[in-house]
Amino acid sequence: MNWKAKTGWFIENYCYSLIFLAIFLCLWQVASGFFSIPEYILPSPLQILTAFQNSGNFLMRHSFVTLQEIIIGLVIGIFVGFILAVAISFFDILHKTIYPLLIVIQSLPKVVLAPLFIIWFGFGMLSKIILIGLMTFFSVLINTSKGLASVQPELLDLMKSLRASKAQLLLKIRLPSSMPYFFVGLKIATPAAVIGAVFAEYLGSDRGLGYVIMLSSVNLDTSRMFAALVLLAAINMVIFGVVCFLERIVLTRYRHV
Amino acid sequence: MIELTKIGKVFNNHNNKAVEALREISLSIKKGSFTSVIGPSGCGKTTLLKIIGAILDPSEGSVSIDGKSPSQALLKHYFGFVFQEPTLLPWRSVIKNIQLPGEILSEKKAIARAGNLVELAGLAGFEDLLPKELSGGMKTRVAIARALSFHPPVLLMDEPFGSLDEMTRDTMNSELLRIWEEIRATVIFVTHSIREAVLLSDNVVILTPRPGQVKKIIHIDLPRPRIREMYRLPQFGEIAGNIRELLIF
Repeated sequence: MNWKAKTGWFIENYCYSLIFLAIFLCLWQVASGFFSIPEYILPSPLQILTAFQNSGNFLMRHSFVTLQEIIIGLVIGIFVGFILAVAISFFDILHKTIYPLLIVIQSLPKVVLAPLFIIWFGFGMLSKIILIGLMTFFSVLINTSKGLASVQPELLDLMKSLRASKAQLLLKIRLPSSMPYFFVGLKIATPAAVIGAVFAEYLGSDRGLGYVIMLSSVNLDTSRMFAALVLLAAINMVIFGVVCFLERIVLTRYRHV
Repeated sequence: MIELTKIGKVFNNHNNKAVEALREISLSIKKGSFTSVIGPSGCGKTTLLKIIGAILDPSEGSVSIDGKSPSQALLKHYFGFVFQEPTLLPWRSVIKNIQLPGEILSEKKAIARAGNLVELAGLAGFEDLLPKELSGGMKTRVAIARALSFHPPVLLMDEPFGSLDEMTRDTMNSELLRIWEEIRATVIFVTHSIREAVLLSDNVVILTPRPGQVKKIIHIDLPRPRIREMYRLPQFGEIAGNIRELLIF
C-alpha cells in the first residue's frame, strides 16, 4: 500500500469513531460547565488537559517506570511460558507432574499475591515485575501448549513412518504450527500485564502510574487521575500494537495468513 | 513380497469397550504389484494399511515384508505414505515439502532428487508455490512426490483421491499409473471407488463389514499399461459388476 491508500484505509476505518469521540468530548466539556460539576468529582476534558500541562514531567517519569515494569515482566512471562510449554510438550514426565500443578496456580486470583510479593521483594520494581511475570506466563503457556499439540494426526503418522525424532517433530512441525496459538496467548497476557503493574504500584510503591493514581485519589486530584488513566490506556495500546505487528510478521513467515 | 498371516486388530473405544476392527486377514502381495483394498466404511481398511506400515501393531497374527517385520522394514525406510488429505506443511513451498522426508532421514540424495520428483509428478513450474496456491489435484501430486522422495519400495496409499472431484480423480488415476510404471514400487491402495480399483490394480482385496475379513481377492486380468479408456471394455464392466455385488451381498 502506498501512503495515499494507507491514509484512505485509515480514514475509512477510524474516521467515524474519531468524529464521534470529538463530539463526545465537546458535549462533556459543555455539560461540565453547564451543570457546574466540581473538578474533584468529574473534571472536564480541558481540566484533564491542564493536568497534563502542569505535571507533564511528573507523569512522564512515572509512565516510564510503569512501562519498564510491564516490558520486563512481560518478556520474562513470555519467555518462561514459552519455554515451559515446549518442555512440557517434549517431556511426558513434565506433562504428568507439573502441568496439573500449574493449573492450580492459575486458579489463584494472582493480583492478591501483590501484597505478599511486596513483603518479599520490596517496594521497588522487582515485586511488580515478578507479579507481571506470574500474571502473564500462564496464558502464553496454555495457548502455546495447545498449539504444539494441534498437529494433524496424519502428519504425526507421516513423521512416525519416517522415524522422526522428537526434536525434529518439534522444530519442523510443532513449533511452526503453534505460532497462531502463541500469539493468542500473548494478546491475553498484554492487558493482564498492565493490570498487574498498576495494582502492585497502587498497593505499595513510590513510583509508577499506579502510585500516581493512589496519590491523586488521596489528594482528590481527579484531573491528574484521569491523566494517568489516559496514559495507561496509551501504554496498553502501544504494547498491544507491537504484539499485533510481531504477529503479522511471524504468521506471514509461516503462511498462517 | 508382503505376507500377512491371520492379522487381527482389536481397539478399545472411548467407553473402554473392545471393538474388533480386523479378523484373520491373510494376504500375500507380490513385489512390484498394485493391490487395492476395498470395502464398506469402517471395515478397517485404514487400520490394515497402518499395520503394514508399522504405525499400528496388530493384536494377532504377523506381517512379513521381504522377511522383515514392519518395524524392521521401517528402519530401512520401506514405506512411503499418502493420506486422505495431502497434509502438506503450509509454510513450505512445493519443493521444500517434497524434501521434508529427506531432511528427516538426513538423506542428501533424497533431497537432491526432489527436482526429478517434481518432473515425475507433473509439478514442473510449480516448485516455488505454496500449498495454498495449489488446486486439490496439485496438492495430491505433491503428497505423492513427497512419499516417493526417498525411493521407498512400498507405497501405502489411503484413499488419496477421495477428496477430489470426478474429473481430477480420473486425471490422477492416469497420472498414478504413469508414475507407477516408472517406479514400480509395491503399491497398496485403499479406496471406495470400484472403478478406480479395477483400473489401477493387479489384485483387488474385498473386505467384509466390521470386523473386516477378506471376502474375496479378485485378480484383474486387463493388459498393462492400463489407460483410462479401458472402462469401456465389456470385461471391465463385468469385473466391476462382480465387485459391486460382492460388496453389497
